[in-house]
Amino acid sequence: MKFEVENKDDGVILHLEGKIIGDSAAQLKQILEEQIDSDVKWIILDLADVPLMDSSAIGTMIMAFLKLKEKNGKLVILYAQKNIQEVLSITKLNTLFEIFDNMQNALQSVKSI
Amino acid sequence: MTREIALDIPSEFRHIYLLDLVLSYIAKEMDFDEETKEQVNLAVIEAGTNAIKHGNQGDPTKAVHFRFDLSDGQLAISIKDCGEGFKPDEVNDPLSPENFMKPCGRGIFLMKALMDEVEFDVSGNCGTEVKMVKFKMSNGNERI
Repeated sequence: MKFEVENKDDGVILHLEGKIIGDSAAQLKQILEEQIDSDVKWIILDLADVPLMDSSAIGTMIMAFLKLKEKNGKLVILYAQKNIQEVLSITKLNTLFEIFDNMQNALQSVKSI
Repeated sequence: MTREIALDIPSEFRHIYLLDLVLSYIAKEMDFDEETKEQVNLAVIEAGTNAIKHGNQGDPTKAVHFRFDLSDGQLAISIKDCGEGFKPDEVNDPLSPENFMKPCGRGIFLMKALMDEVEFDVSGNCGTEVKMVKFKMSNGNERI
């Protein structure tokens, strides 16, 4: 998995690329924890270039979501591909995460906190 | 005619990528559509991850055994570990309010949702064998 961190005021847009399976969930956990520990208020997870994500990676997103919520912050998802949307729907996690299909709406949501 | 493909991987998460490659090849051989391909891919990755983590406890000296039986109408898959086995009936429901926010415990639930048949055999000498089937569907959404 490749990633790029785009810093924006009090938050970050995290652009991820590649399948997040196997040991990539641990890599994602490390990246998210580093951002949360650096006191960002919000994270937008850009999944446009992520074709597949396993349940360990989804668990990592839940962990980051809860940690940010504890600090009155927010994590949202941007551009989830069809397969990932299906998994989030099956697990009902589409009721937990806000999922956006355009950047402007995602930014509006995280900046409203 | 049924063709069999077998794969053994050491119990390390990095080898899940090898599994992903083999599954891409199998999906092509089965002529699965993109949606079915990704459903099978994720279900097998979840089963493989469980076998590495919970079955073989991440011990790289222990292998996870995969067998794929490709036939005209279906893909049958077996995933076997060398662990202590588990009780499938005692697996928590990830949709229940007490489990919904937990970061783990969705693998088996996803396997059941994504595949047409899933069963667990813990009757062998060691470990768990997960058997899953995906039927091939016609354009009219009927089994071939």
